Amino acid sequence: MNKTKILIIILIILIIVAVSFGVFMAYKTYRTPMQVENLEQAVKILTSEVENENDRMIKLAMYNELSKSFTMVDRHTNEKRKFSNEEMQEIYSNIGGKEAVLNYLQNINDDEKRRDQIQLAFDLKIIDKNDFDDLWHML
Amino acid sequence: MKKRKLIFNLSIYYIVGLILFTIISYIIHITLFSLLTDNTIIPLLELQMIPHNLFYFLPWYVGVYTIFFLLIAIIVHKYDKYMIKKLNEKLENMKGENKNEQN
Repeated sequence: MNKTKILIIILIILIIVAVSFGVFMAYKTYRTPMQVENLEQAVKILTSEVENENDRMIKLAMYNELSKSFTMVDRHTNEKRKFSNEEMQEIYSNIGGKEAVLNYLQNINDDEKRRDQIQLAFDLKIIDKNDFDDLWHML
Repeated sequence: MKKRKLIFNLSIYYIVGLILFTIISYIIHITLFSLLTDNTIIPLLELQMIPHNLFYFLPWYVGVYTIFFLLIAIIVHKYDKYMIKKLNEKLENMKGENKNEQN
């Protein structure tokens, strides 16, 4: 085997390893526990009753972030809290889910407020680009 | 002098490989992460985020690439040794054959 062949093989291996590592890092980043300033307070906010629609959107954004890893970590104390499937389902039904937010966004009468709320929902990653376009063009 | 050249060559291979490895891994990493989180990839934002992301993830990239580089270097070195040994054996056989022919 000559030098060029060895170099080509090493390059192919390098690309395969780089791609595999990229996949691993994407998964690892996705599964990273949700970092919070105060664990106790964050759990309390998430499990409390929904007070208004803004509150619902913020809680749903928190839920969406938490649903990637089911784990919350206190940034300062490194204390961890793992949520079970049942707990997550309970939180989701308590918040009302994405359907409740979509319903709320569709029923705002004031156009300016509606635009602001649609933008907020999009920024909080509650609605995707398709939902955003649909809601925006309904105006 | 030879040792210096070898170290210089290895350093060049390491740096070029690291850059290539980081670019490929980073593109796959960010693209897959965006797909997993249902985010659209906004090129301008991603470009702005590169320094921050690289600072955060670089130790991982460097660590994994260094292990990979060392493994490859060890394997290539062993392969080189094996080839030299094989060539020497062949040479010895040829020498033996030549001696027999001469006798």
